[in-house]
Amino acid sequence: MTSAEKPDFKVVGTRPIRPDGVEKVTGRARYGADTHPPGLAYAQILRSPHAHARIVSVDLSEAEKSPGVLAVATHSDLPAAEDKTEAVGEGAVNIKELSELILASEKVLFAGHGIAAVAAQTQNQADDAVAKIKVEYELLPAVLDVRDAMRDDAPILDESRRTKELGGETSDRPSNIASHSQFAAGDVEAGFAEADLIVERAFTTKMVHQGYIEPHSSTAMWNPDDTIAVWTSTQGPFAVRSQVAEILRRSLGSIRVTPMEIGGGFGGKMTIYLDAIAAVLSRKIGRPVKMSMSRRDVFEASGPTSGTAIRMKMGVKDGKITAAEASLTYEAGAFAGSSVGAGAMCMLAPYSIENIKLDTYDVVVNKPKTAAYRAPGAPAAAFASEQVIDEITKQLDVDPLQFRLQNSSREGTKMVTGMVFPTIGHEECVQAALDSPHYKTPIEGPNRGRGVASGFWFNGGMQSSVAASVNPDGSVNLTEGSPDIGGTRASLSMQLAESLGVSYEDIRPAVVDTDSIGHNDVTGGSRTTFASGLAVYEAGQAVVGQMKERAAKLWSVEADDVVYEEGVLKCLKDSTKEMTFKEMAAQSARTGGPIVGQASLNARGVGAAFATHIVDVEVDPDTGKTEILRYTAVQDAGKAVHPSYVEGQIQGGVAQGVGWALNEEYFYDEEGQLLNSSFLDYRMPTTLDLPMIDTIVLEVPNPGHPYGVRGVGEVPIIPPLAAVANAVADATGQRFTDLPMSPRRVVETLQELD
Amino acid sequence: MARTHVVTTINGSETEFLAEPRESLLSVLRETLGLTGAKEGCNNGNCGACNVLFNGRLVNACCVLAVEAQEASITTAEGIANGAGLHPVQQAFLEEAALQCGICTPGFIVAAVALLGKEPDADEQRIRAYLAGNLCRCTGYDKIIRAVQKAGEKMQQGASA
Amino acid sequence: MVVKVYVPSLFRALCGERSLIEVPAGTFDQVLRAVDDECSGFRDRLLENGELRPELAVAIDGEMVPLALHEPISDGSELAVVPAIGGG
Repeated sequence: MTSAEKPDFKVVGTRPIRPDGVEKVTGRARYGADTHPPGLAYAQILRSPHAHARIVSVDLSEAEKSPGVLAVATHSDLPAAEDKTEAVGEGAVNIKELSELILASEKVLFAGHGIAAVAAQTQNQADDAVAKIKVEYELLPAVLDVRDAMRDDAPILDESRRTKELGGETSDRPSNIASHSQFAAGDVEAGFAEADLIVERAFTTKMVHQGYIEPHSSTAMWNPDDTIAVWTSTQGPFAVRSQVAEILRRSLGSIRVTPMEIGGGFGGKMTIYLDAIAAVLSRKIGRPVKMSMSRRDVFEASGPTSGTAIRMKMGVKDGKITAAEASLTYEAGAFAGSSVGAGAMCMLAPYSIENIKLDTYDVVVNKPKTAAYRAPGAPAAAFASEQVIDEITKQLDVDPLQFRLQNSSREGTKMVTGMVFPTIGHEECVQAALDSPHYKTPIEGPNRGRGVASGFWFNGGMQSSVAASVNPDGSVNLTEGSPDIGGTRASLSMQLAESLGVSYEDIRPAVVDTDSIGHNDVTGGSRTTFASGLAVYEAGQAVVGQMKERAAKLWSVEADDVVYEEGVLKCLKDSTKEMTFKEMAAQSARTGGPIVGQASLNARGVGAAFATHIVDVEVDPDTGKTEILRYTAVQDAGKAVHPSYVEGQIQGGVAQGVGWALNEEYFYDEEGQLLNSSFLDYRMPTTLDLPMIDTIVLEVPNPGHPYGVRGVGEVPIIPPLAAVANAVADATGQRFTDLPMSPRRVVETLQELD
Repeated sequence: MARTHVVTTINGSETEFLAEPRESLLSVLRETLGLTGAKEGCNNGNCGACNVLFNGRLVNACCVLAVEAQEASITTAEGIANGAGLHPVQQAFLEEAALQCGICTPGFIVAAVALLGKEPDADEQRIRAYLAGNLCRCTGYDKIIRAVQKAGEKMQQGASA
Repeated sequence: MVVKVYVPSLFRALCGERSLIEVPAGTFDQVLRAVDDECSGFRDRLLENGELRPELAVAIDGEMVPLALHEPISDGSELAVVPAIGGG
């Protein structure tokens, strides 16, 4: 975009201090576990030590007698759940399976599966009492790997499960394959026949965790009038309300969920692991009950993302991709529902390919039920596709970015689903990567290599509801329902200030409880700055509209005769008549009462996100350690509302992706015991593992948003896995198709070659 | 379980509490005293979210027994700001957008204050090494390191002015 | 006055291996019924309790949209049925 076309924004694109910043740097901000209502009791859950077992009996008698114990609960304290799938939160959830996930009834399906809960006067007393619960198990063989779980002789997790295929059932006997789907376009056989180079590889990735630093914590109070108050750390207070209502069979209106500050989520804080049990215990004792996970619980009993097995085949002719075929198999965990569909849809979206066939398999295994993790499904898929492309460019001896540019999707390209792209920025990302100082600097030295990769994410729209209340002094309270994980109070306040033509400092945002605002879908899917931003824009315009009407009355003209420019109401009929925003705000009581602009919407016009990353590594052949020497991430943000937080999202996504590539994995023994459920052994990147991360933020405006905003949070985690693997291949001459590329795996692989 | 009476100083104020022998300082700060600025991220010393200054030393409050606080002087995240004004580290975190979700922020700030109090001229490598015990999952550390560098510069300017 | 419906791969067997079917414009339900006339069973497998299955989503002209059965689909639109996507 040339500077002449650049819209003239006053607030959008600046870098003000976030409104919630002071509370967060002074330790005053209150997160999930910081809730202390009067009379608080504490609860703990007994979790299964076995990955797969029938519960023969549960003896609570000793626990009930333990000092300080107030109440106990098991699955039988939850109302019978309906076997139905509901769109609660962001994805579809089977209510019966959710109920079984919260507390097991007859079978435990993973180590960490909850069995019984105890409420006591103190946390220590609750912990002590849980240790006194006696459970008799009948052990069953566990199945931990998707490929094993698909075998005919595999232990079956759920005898009633049949493979589903787009509404139909394809197996007539029990299966761990929860569903199969297929995406196909063109004729892959013809495409491969035409190709003069075909590369086919198999890849695996391990189960990994979002790794948010704040463990799950929920506090609930079931009042004598059967209203329920929940205070929790969640990406979706309304999603929590829906799930609690379904599980406890209460009305939505009887439940109030207050979102506390949230210490990271990345998709993992949408499911109600604790809320319903805390409520059930509260009902028994008439006191509020707090339930918090330990770090070990978070690893073993929340929702990590799938380990995967992906086979990918791609053909090219004259530098153009002629066909691509893949099968994607994702662990769902103990219950159905992985992100394999999204993975398949994103996998090849950066490229225009006529002939594609992708088969997807969602497979249950004896591990925790997976949940969303930042661009769910896409990083593992790109790990496969972007490495196959890299290998093709190496075999053809062509520049990997030029190859991507030649094959890039653009406006009008049809995806494998039949969806056609509107204005998108992939070519711009690849070109900017080609032009970057990083790519123009050659990489030199032994054991060093460079890798590139692209990624695509759809981004979400969905429902948002906001209100802007103008105070008599001209300040504005913005009421919203999207928990602020990474600076959305700032990005929404900025958009309201822009819409109103007032200063950012005049806006005071508040994230309120579910009683106090219309429905808001989760803070997830990279949707909040876009979709709640759209609502904020409209609420601002509603305020402006009301002010124009009032000014027209004061000036005895028609509303059409009043214009609003840069914070000033002007009369077109009489140039001497002007009122500032603040002057009109002061007149609100005399001109009709409070001025409040509201907007509720189901956002349309979502702009997709693309990214292209470049990474340089050095691999120590003796220790197997891979050092990230330099990293540049290019991304199309549409319009960066607060550039610092856009850069922060990109840098954070890169860090998680690098961790996934190099070190992070769920390490199980053969019985299904997780051996590394601590931050010491589950190795996330520290300050010493990363360099500064350079960002190049492009702005290809999204025509569906008044300021051109696209979601930015998710796509930056997609390219790093493949980019790092491509760099390691460049450095070592060895392609690593299995994650993580941990020092041990690297050193073993390189020694085998010697 | 018999509880022990502890007299200590927290953020400059003499404070008394009763604690079980097995209770951590983190548990007492958060649950007994309502000082929730120290966060529990792991409860075994791996994440630094509960960092406090204990007689001037940086510690993980989850790894200190509450009874050890007897006659100690403790500074928590809530005690870093000087009266109504922010500490230069806090100000730099705001200006550099060095936090996203903010859960690790109090721990990082306490740790950075501990470092810069002794070494305001710490360079990037020194800052990275000192903060390696603090995990952040949102930022990739880039903006945190920059904020600490900026605060160090401010503190040096303030000292020489 | 037509709507182009992109047939999901696994349904093509129902539709004589066609990947694109053109039917008259109308409400979402009328469009599904029109496709069903040519590809028997199509509509049943997409719906559950009279609504689109919660694990599915509809994209119109490239954008996933929340769509009730009674809502009109305008002339010239392209419609695709895709898995619902949850974000992180």
